[in-house]
Amino acid sequence: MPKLTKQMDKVAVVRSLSHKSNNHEPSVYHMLTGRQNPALVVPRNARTRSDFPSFGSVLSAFAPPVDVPAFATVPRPIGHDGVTYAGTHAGFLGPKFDPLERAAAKGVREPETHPLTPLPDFPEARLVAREGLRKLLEKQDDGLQRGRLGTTWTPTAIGRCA
Amino acid sequence: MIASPRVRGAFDLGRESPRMRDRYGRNEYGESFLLARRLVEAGVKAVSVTWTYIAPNGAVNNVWDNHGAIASLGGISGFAILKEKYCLPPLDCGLSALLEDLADRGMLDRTIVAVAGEFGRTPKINPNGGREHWGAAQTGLLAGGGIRGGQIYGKTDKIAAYPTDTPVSPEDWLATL
Repeated sequence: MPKLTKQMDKVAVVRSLSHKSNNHEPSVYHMLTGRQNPALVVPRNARTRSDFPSFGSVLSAFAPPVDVPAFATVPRPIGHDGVTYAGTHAGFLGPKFDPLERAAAKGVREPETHPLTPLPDFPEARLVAREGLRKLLEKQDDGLQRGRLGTTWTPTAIGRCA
Repeated sequence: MIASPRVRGAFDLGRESPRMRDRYGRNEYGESFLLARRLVEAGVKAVSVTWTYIAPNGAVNNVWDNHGAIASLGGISGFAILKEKYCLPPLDCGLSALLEDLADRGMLDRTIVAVAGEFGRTPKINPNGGREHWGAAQTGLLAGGGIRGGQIYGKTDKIAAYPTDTPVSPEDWLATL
């Protein structure tokens, strides 16, 4: 690799990365989550919400919120034999911390976690309707808050007390 | 959030110069490394690039799971697979471009690049010029984020079968990130 050779002044070569499994599924899970689960074997290694989270989802959970997804997977998550591997999403941290996936793994039945294009059964009209509902609820809530309180409370400046 | 112009813009590789695109490599993985840099620039904290070669006919080829003689790749030897356009050459282009580009942009000090497989390969070569699964030792690469470059960390025995010095667990690896 002649081009990489020229960049090795920037690179630390770790020669002793080591664990005890010789099977793809538990090894992927261990490398991406830091947790071991030897029972993960295709096809029983699909992602579930009881999995430990991928490192990027952990980062996502602790990073200050920003207006872009904190974690993304490209070009697609690890998948084989019809299964997207456990260890590639947020697991028990929940969908909020799943990676943005540009595409689903090849040949799997599950869709990507946050598709860039809406799913066929989730047309844009539904997104617009949801957004409209959210705005309506916010407006009603705002009205209720005002109605109950009359005006917003302004703290009294420090001064006399009885 | 996903539809935000910043994220959509990051996915638009047409905004890069042809020279930059050539440097990363015009293939799914070179482009994924370039996308990773663009996503980090847009504010994304972590990008995972996973590499399985999808052939033009849609077949999934785990080119790094190199036992040699993979039927869908024409049954060539493990060493011949490494030299193909879907294996080491695009990794050489894409990874070197990413490291150089991050450094040129002043991003490498606050960005970590970590490269590893889920395991290593057996020390002994099989009759197909390939190697089987081996969790006990693999080489990983770390760069950026204050990590001192140009160093070798850890040692294995003389056939690279087991660590003899400072073994690094997946937990250590992830904690470092």
